[in-house]
Amino acid sequence: MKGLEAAEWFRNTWGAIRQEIGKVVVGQEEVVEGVLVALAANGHVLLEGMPGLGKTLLIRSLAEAVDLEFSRIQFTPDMMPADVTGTNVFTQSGGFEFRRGPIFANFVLADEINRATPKTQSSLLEAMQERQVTLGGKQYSLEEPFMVMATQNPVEQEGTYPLPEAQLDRFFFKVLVEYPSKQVLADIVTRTTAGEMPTINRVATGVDLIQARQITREVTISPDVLDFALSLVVASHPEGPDAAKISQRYVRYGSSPRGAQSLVTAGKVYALLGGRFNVSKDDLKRAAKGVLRHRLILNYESEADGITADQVVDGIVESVEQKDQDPVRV
Amino acid sequence: MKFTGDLKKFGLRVRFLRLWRYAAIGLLASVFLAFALIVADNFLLINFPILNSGYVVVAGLVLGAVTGFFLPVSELALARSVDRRAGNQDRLATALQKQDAEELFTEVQQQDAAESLQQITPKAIYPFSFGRWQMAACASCFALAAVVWVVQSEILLSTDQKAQKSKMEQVQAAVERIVKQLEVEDQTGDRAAEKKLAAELRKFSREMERGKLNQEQAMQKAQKLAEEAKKLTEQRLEKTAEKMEQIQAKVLQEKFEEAGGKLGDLQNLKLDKMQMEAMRDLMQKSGADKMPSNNLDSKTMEALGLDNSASEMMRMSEQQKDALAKAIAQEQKNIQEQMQNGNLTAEQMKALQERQEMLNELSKQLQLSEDVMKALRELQEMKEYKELQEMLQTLQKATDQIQNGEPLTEEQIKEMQRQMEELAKQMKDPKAREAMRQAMKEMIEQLKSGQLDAEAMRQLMGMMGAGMSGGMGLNGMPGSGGRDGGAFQGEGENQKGDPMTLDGKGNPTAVRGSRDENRGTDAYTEIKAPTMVGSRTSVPYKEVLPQYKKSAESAVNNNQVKPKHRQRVKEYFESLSSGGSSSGGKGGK
Repeated sequence: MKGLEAAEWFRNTWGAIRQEIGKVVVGQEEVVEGVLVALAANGHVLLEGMPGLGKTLLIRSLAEAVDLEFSRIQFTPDMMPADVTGTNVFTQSGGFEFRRGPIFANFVLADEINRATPKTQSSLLEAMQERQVTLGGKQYSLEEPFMVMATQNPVEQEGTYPLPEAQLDRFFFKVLVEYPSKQVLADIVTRTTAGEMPTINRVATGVDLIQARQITREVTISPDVLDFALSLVVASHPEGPDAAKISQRYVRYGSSPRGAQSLVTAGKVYALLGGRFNVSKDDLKRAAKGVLRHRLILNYESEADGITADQVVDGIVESVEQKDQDPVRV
Repeated sequence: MKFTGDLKKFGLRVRFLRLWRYAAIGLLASVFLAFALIVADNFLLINFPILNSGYVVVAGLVLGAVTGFFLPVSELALARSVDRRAGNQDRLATALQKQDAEELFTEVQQQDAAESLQQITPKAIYPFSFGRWQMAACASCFALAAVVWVVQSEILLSTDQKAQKSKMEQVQAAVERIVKQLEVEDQTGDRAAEKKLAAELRKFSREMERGKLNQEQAMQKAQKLAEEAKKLTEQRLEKTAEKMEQIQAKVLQEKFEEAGGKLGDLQNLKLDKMQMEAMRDLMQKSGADKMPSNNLDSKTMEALGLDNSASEMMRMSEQQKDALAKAIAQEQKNIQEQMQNGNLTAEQMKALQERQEMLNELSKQLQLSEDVMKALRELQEMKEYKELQEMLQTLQKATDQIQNGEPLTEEQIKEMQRQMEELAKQMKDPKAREAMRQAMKEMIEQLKSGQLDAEAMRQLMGMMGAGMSGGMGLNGMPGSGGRDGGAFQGEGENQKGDPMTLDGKGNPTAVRGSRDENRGTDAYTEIKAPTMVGSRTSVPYKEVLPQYKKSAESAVNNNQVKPKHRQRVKEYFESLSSGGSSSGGKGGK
């Protein structure tokens, strides 16, 4: 497939998936887009929002649109790692048989992930990064495409275990799910209380998703734009020489190199979705919040001042943009 | 690259925009520079007429515009800028930087960049605007124009001040003319002194123009400048005199040879101290010193390179020489007899032998002087010699005339040039002729320069007299120097310094003593006293000094002054000449 055709195919496929999801998920444009971008970038998504905002519906709709296996894990404090990965069970035939856990699906919804203990949470680490599960000394590969979509509730913090930094870093995007507007809410209510729920058609396959990921990686990025992406990441490091002022004040730890990788990859997906063949600085700015907000570990001063991670990311972007002046002064 | 051609249009637009911006910056900078120059001029640090601000401003504008237009604009920077301004999502910069990459999207990305560029016009993303630089430049121009207008229109001056300024400007304009005259003259050669004088006059002119000097300061400065100009003139005339002497020597030496003389004889004609004393002794004994001597021109002797002893021999008449020869012969005879008697010690014998040798030498020198005298007589009879003498007299007269403050007429200068040319034609050696022409040319220039300096300063002092008395109310102020007919005095009411008003200061001082050994042991008395009140000076001192000096020099050269007093006489007149410059300025007191 040539460049132009590949790009058009990508846009059409993603447009179709989005259209199918849009049949059941009303509003939440940014959330849907974030999930689809992560899907194209071969990443996982952490959705943070109140219950009942359509997170599960979104994942399920996505799975239906590409006709892939979907599983949902409701995390609770008493859940064990085996409940996620699966376990060896003794069979009547006298041997042990590996019973696959819910992680063995193409789309895994880890609902309220912060309710599980760190031990159980960390059982996802290998699966998310290595796309495999190791049990009893034996490795089980996960089928591609594989994507974890975790949710967490930002308000009910009692009896929860905040995700460790290593776990957070493995999420490509952290998407905030907001309450819908009145108009959107009216649409939701109308659709869900009258008649039958619309049916989602299969518009893509798992192979299409894999191919889409390959196309995404081919998008051109110029050294200037790459430098801009790296500058964003470097500016988040409070101790670094190029740190943004806001990072120096409110950030305890900045983004890892995965953040830079995620920025560039997300930029590539946004470029393709935007009908271009090159990543622009605007693409990076657009991806910055989703990529960086969960990778910045803020300090106590930020909490005291009521500064959120999104505000810090905005500050970092602004700081880097100020240094990136028009090279031709007229 | 598919879009580099289109990108050039943007580059040109950027150049014009930079021209617009840098022209404004250049204009602003030049206005500040003009202000700085005006301030510096106001403090007389430099000479900067305020209307020249216009040139500075235009130069700044042009320099800024040219700089802006020709500043380099790189293609990549331009692509980034266009991307940025047009919201082109880094298409052009990426296409430029990744043009050689072999990726899936390289070709379509290049195409995409080219298409995106076609949708943008240079005018849209690089609009001309009247920004802060342009506003600042215009504001500063208005400020400068306002300052120039205020200064030029004299709107802040009262009627009296305007009138006074107008008069001062007239004087200043006159000074400026003099300065220009001096500066034009400067171009003829090494004229450091004129340059310095011109610079000081120009500064003086500016001080007057800007009213930096009060009446007293202006007069003091004018007097000081006049004195400097006078010194300059004197130096010029001294140089002229030197040239004259050189020309005279060259011509005379050549003519002397034509008359049959030998320059070698002239060099050999010389007596040492012992011989001179012996000669004078013998002349006294023989009574030759009381006989009449030849009257020869001392300058001719000097020009021929004869020293005092030779000159003394040359001035001896035939009668004197005969008497001296006889005296020498008698002396030689006496010595011969004494030596033959034999009752002498070795030392006495040696002394007699030395005396004998000295008398022989003296006798030879007398004979040599006779040969030289013969040629000299021939020379004096030559027509060219007489013409030369006439011309030298003319030149001397012209020098005296300038020194006395009377300008040479065009006819006089032309006549001098004609005479010199005639003289040069008579020279046989082409090289010597050319060298002489060159020397004469320089001499004429020296004369003219000296005359111009004197004339310029006379004009200046004339203007000062009129300007100060009319514009500044210095009526009755004595002219510079206060000398009757002096070279540097004012006109009108300041024209004559009245000697009767010159009251002296201090008391007469008599100094008695004896001279040091080098000058002899005579006792002397010097009386230094001011001009007596009530006495009348009939002839100005400066007028008689050259004449007296000339007479003294003549007396020294003609051996009318004893050798031991000659140096003293010379020093006395030199001191009068050198002190004359300062006494000239104070002469009115």
